[in-house]
Amino acid sequence: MQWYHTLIFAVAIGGASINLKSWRTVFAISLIIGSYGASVLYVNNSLPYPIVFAGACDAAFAFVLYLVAKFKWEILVFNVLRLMLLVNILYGLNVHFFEPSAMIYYASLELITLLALIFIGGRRYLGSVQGHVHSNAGWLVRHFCSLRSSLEAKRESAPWTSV
Amino acid sequence: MMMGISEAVAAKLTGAFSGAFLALIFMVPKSRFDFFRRLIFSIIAGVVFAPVSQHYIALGDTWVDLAAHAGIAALASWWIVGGFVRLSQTWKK
Repeated sequence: MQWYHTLIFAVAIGGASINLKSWRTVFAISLIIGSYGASVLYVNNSLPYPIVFAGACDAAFAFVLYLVAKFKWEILVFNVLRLMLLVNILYGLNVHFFEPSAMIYYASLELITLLALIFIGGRRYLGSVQGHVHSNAGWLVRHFCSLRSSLEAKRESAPWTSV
Repeated sequence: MMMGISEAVAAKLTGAFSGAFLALIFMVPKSRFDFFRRLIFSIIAGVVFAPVSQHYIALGDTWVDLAAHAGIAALASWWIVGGFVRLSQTWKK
């Protein structure tokens, strides 16, 4: 296990532990870390078609998240999983033609996972920042703080579940 | 590598279903009817047009490559069906 694996798991555990009251946050974190952990285990055991497996994990977890999502921030996490899936597809297709660097592929997936975990875990602190911001604060700060209310808004219902 | 007909059909069906699932993640349909319409078209297109995809994107001849070609064809057809539906709706207006 490398240091970046430890870092990602530590961020996930930390994020989940400070959001224990919100089962949706813990669920989103467990989906992301589940997909990541399964992919890492698969790759470390040198099993065949690791890119396909990683892509399938991301697709399955993204689908589950889309089904249970109720708020806009969950749709944002769904989009992060879609981005990871896209990275897998692009790398899987390019392997045949351009021989891209595997290190960039792994690093980009790990960076996306880490940023997503920090976002999900630290989302509740956007609200506490909002409470302390002075009304004369710069537009960037105010805009950043208004993110929370927009992220906590309810999403539209899953369109394809209607007849 | 030569494959039997049943093997090739299994590869194409696996690839077509995988491609349709991927397409479902990236292009979420608007209604259940739209979902079934796209699903049926993409599975048929995945099985039928896998060799066409093989001709243009030469990944290889193995079982997995054939499945990947069927997946690409299914993904493309999912998108194309949606485009045609949108075009026809615009035309009606």
